[in-house]
Amino acid sequence: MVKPKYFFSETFISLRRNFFMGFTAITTVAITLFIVGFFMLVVYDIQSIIKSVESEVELAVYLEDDISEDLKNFVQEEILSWEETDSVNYVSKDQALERFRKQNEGSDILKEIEGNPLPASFEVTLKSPEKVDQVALRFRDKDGNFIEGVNDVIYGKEWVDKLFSITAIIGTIAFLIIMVLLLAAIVLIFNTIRLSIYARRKEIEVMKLVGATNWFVRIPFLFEGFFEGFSGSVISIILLYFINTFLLAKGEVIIADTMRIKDLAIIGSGNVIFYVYIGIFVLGGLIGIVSSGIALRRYVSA
Amino acid sequence: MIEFKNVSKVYDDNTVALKNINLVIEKGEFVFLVGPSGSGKSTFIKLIIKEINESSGSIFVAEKNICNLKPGRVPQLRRNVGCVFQDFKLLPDRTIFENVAFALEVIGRPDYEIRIQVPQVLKLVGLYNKLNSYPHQLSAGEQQRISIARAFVNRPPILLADEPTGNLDPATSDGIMKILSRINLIGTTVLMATHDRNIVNSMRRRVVELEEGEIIRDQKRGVYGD
Repeated sequence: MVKPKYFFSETFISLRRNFFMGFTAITTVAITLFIVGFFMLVVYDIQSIIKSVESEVELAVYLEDDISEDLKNFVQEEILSWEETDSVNYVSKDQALERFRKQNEGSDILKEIEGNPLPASFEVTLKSPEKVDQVALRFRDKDGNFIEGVNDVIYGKEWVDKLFSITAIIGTIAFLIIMVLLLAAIVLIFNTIRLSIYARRKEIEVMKLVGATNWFVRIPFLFEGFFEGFSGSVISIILLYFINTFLLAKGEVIIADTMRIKDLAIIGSGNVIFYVYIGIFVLGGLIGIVSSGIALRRYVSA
Repeated sequence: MIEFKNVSKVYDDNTVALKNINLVIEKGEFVFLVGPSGSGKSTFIKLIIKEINESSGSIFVAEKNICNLKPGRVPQLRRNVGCVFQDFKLLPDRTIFENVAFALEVIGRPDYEIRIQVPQVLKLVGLYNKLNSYPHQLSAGEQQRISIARAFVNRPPILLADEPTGNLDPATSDGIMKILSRINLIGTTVLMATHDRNIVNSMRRRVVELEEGEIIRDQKRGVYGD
């Protein structure tokens, strides 16, 4: 009774017959998914850059000159035991002076320095840079004074606050834009497929009139919707591939070289681009089939 | 073959289309359903193919009560009832052969059957030579004959025709009636809704007249009326 050959041949015959509507649907899928994919990659890279800037947020814990070796070790152990801590680097007074000299080479200020006025310090980097405020507070006692052995804790409070509020805003906006784009893509694709089914309502009417079962009517349309979504997503992946190779990847090489950022969408090791391709592929086919299914409900009920 | 028992149909907007209809049509009969526009002829036909549901009463098609038919069984019903309409309902982007074959394809008939049945039914309606034409290349009368071929290609026991000559001139209409008579002669029950006086008077078949949703006349070998 059921003839798979019929469904396949019917799908392709009808794609040929309704070339213009099919072409419109495929183009719509290709362009909208391309825009979504492109934007996702750009946003991913922006997030990576922000993350790397964030990870440069560190605390400088200046120590008293007369701190005992035991206390110094104790403070270091303590910092290391916190879960927010990523690394602790001890900079001795001599190293601090050496660094200062390098940074100010040839400057008159070096002549003014007598002895070593610079303190030893711990440079602390964090796993979760946005918690820098809370971590800094741990170096103070209940009355707000620094704990024994610590002279000062510096992390550029205002700058860090500003950085995090900006990154939060960028993150939210990027998320919203992707959601809106995705929604627009889905609505656009859905409408196009619905239109192509509307254009063939007469065919559906005749099929039902001569006693075709509902599934018999539906299946060729579902195949067609899937084929349109699938082809559209393949085209958008090919477009993305070219844009990525000739544009985005080159930009990323420059970003990677100048800012030492490794986690980038295309040239990074995370295979983000691969997941974006897979996502587009699945989304395309799914939108095609689901749109057809929903659009058919109006014409194929009983 | 078709039986209406106390059937009424009231549409959602409260128009009463049919009022307490009782009618039996036997196997092999040729019945004209006549009456002015809006008298309930189309409603009558739509009820038989379950395009709409009755408001009350019961309808039997081929001895089966179709009132509580599950939606999934409706296609089965329609395979037993061929339908012809005033506007032909041919698919413009398919050839004549494809249009007729479509009716067999969508009910899952095998290719070899389609290759035998379609030319046969096209010969029956006298259009075997137009196999590869498209509907727009045919006259209105020819298109209606194709639509009859499509309705009859799977040999349903019942053929319904809703104003099949509504768009045709008298000479062409005669041709259509000859085909319907031929189909009736080989045992098919034919029910035709029409308000074509000349056709009804020349055929001398059973006439059921509807007026405002009620049967006002049921006459063997009848005429259109006065």
